[in-house]
Amino acid sequence: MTTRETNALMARGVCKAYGQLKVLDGLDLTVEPGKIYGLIGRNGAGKTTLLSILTAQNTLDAGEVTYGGQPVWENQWALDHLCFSRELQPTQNGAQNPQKVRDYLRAAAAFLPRWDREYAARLLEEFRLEPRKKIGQLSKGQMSMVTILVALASRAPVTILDEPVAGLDVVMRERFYRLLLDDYAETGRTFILSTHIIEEAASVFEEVLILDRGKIVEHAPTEELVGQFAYLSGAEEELDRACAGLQVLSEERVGRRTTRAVRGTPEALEAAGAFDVDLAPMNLQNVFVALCGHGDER
Amino acid sequence: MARCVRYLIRMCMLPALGVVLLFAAAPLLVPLEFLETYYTSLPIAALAILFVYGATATGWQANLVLSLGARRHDLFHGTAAVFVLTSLLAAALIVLAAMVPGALGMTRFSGDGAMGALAGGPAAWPMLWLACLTGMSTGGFFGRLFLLRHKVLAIVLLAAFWLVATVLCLVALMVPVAAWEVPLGVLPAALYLILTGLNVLFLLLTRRWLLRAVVC
Repeated sequence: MTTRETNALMARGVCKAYGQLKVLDGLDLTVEPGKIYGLIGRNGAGKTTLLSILTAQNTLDAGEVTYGGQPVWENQWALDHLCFSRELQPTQNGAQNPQKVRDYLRAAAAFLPRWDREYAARLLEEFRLEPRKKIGQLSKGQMSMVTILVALASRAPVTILDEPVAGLDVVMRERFYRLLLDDYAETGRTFILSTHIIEEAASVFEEVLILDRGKIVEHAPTEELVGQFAYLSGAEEELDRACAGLQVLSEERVGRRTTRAVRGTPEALEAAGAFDVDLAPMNLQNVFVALCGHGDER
Repeated sequence: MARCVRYLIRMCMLPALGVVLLFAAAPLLVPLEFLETYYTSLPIAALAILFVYGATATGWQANLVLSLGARRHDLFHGTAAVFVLTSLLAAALIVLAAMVPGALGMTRFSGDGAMGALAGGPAAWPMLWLACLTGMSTGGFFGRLFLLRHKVLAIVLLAAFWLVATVLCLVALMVPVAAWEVPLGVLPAALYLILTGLNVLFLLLTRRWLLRAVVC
């Protein structure tokens, strides 16, 4: 199998700083084809910077990004396989964004080689978007719909969406997840979604990437990752015995009862549950808070 | 590069030339006395129009094109090609527009006034094209400044540029042609060289990616 046939998107030792602020610090990442990845991180963690560097829309200070073994930077072959549908801006240089939805879609059709016109037209109708409306006049939810439309109709083998559900109501969010899964079932292409609405999107993610302090601190299948975490509650002495061999991430005391967020193998967690403590599973959001909260949640 | 050129022709060149053409065609609908003054100001209006479209091409259009996966190398060279072509066609439109009143026997286009001299004869055409290219690349320069978020610098430079340009235009319009023929021939060329030099220096020194894009 040649390197191009593997078509993995890889980042090696990526560093990026804005002035004195180090955003990405020697980040390594491999995005394999045919999976839906969820990229989660706190505000300012560098999610958008990472995604824009992966698609050569931003420069890097050090490191390398490759697709199918080829550098992504200024490589038309690689760029033709990637689509980063960015959040639209309602203003430009302080004035209302004058570009019409129709013009934005025309530009997408001109530059994205696998653009599916029929699908785009269908989605335009389904989202009830007015093509003649200016982007600056759209609501936040409608702007999200335009970015979703471009991402889905791009048919790019690696499609990246940054906060795609921001501003969408719950009905439209459900519709988006359905469209995404339908598309994935049909094409099997790779999606990377960054989102803050973690729990809602967790069932869609095949693998989770957690970005914290400039590095990918976790990269694992969603269920496998969530299965390594749990809450243990009970009396402190009993908890100490139950937590032996487990990594304690945080602790909270309410009266005489203590709750600890712990990490370990599924077997170790099961063994801890045999003590006189309450064992409660975590969801992906809990896992994220436990790993990246750094105490700010209290 | 073909995608970038095609896109910029559709989104930048054709609208710019369309507006210049509309501006040139407008006096056919207005009283005859207005014609002479109008045609004297046509090159100035064309420069302003080219400035605006130059700024949009390197500003948010460039941003959009890069976000949709275009190479910087292609965008850089495509923009340069479209600027040259657009300014050439705009200059040709101005020259043709200047011939319209005479051809239709509406009034005699005297060529008085400094800008009128630019469209006055074949000898001035290269300078007219250079002036158009200056207008467009100046717009491109400021478009990039805004794009690269040097907004304060852009505003200061823009204000200074327009102040100098307005003073020069006012003086040029008030003084007879003969006295300004030589300076006006030199002015666009000098302006073009200075702005292009500044543009290239600024971009190459501050944006490593562009240097790589041009070289590779």
